[in-house]
Amino acid sequence: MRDAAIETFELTKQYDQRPFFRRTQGGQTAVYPLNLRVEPGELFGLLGPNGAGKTTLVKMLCTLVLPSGGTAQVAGYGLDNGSAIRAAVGLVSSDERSFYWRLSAQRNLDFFAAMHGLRGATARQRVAAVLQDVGLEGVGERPFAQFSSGMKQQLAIARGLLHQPRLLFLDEPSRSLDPTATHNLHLLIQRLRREQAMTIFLITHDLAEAEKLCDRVGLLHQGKLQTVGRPADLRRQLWTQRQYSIVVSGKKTAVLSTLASLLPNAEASEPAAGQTQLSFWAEEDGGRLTAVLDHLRHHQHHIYTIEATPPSLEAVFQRFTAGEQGSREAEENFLPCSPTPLPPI
Amino acid sequence: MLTRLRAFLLRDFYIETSYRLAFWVGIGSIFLRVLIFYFLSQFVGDQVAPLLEPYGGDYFAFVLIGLALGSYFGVGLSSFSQAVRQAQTTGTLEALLMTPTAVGTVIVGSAIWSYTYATFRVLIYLLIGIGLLGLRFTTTNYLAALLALLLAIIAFASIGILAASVMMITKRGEALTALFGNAANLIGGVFYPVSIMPNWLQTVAQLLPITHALRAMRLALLGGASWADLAPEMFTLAAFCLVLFPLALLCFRFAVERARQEGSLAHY
Repeated sequence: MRDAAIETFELTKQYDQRPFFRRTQGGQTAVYPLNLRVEPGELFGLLGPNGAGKTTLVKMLCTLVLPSGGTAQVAGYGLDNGSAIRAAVGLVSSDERSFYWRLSAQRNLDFFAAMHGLRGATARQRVAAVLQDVGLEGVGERPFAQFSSGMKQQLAIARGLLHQPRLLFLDEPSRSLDPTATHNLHLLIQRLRREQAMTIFLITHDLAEAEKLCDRVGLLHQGKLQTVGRPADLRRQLWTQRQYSIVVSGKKTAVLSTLASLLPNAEASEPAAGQTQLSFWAEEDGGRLTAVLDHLRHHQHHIYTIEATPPSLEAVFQRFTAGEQGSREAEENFLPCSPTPLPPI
Repeated sequence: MLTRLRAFLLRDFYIETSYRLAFWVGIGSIFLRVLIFYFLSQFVGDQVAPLLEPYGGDYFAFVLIGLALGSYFGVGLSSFSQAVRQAQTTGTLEALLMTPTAVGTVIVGSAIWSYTYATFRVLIYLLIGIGLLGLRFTTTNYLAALLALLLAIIAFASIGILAASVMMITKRGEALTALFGNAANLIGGVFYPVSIMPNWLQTVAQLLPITHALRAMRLALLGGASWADLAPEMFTLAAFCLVLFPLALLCFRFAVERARQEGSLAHY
């Protein structure tokens, strides 16, 4: 088996409540014992709501935060070898404060290139290359303070690439970007993988981005890695239903009355005179759909169209993380081992 | 290491000179400060000469060296903790510690511009004193003065790094630096000789490296003291350096580890 790009073993982070003067038992657990393996060259996405522990996890992997328990191998090094890890990985954080505002973009990058041990012509070449990679060539002389939020984010990405890391952590990289810049970022990520076989660990709230880019995604919720899988598999695993939309003949009240026992919560509208559009969730296996169609035909409703839409990962995610109560229910219902569907029909 | 230190120096030079007005006002204020003490020395005249006999008897020369070394003390005391504080508030500390640069290099590099600028200011003090106000060093042991300065810088920096360690953990270290700064001005002998203070204060003053640094510098520059005369002060300064500097670096490493444990590197 190849060495993993990232492998964690029961990696845990608990923050003491009174960390300096008096230790207390317990405290806030940001990350519960977590086991995860990311392969070299893989683009792994980590999804989770605010406060889920995503950034803490990444900071532990980057050695900026010490774990309370467990360990990890990052780019082939143990977490106790911080210097080697930091030389091998890049971190693009979502904190746009992390530059010197009075300096130009170029001078900021010159400084961080030196911190990575790059010198002379090599440093100049790398700075020019990364500015071009992120589309900031030509504005390198402008002070950082004059950059837009999007440009600041692009510069953060450029900094993360300066030392040509084998593994790149991206913490919500498209948060401040406009659609064009986001598109360019996606192209850059894909190019980094294609040309440099770079492993990328992407934290994102943008589920479309995760679905579009990631080989696998993990859902982190309340410090626990709930599940890991390919985006499509995850969607299937977590939500075995589809949203069906059927246009039938007849008035809304009549159609709803006909289906009252089968679809008590169906939504209905009248897109045209004498037609009703029904919208409801049902299992992918088609059992309930067949029953609904049979029932409609039996009551002389003509069926014009049937559409089935799989739930977006966003919908899955929202259901999964919706509120405390919702979360508990979701966890009970959505753990990968549980086939129980969540949304009531 | 040198590439990194040069990068720190350039970074802070560019930032400092980007505030042009503040930069030139800072330079201008040196003239005013020197003039204040020049006129004060004219005012006190020869009355204080007996107290300053070991240092050549001239109050202006005495206080100018006090001001110059006081600059290094101030820089040593505050620049490290200010650098940490600034890096925390601007969010650059995490970005810096994400590079393979050693923590020791980060802390030393963060203050290197402040020391360079302090040296520049000291040169201006001396240039004004010598060029415009008739200051003369007649019998001078330059080599000893240089060594005393070097030891003083290391000792002051050690206290500064200790203050930065406190800053790293508590996010506030100004109280510690203010305490040391005021103590130095009060009992270190910056503006007047330690010998005019009560005995018990003179004893406390011996616990501060600035007291020994000022005495060594003045004896070397104004009294033409020999190496043998300077030996007690030099050994005391060296002892401060040997104890404080490794201790300070250890404390700073501990503070960074502590902040990593707490996940508070970027907090302020």
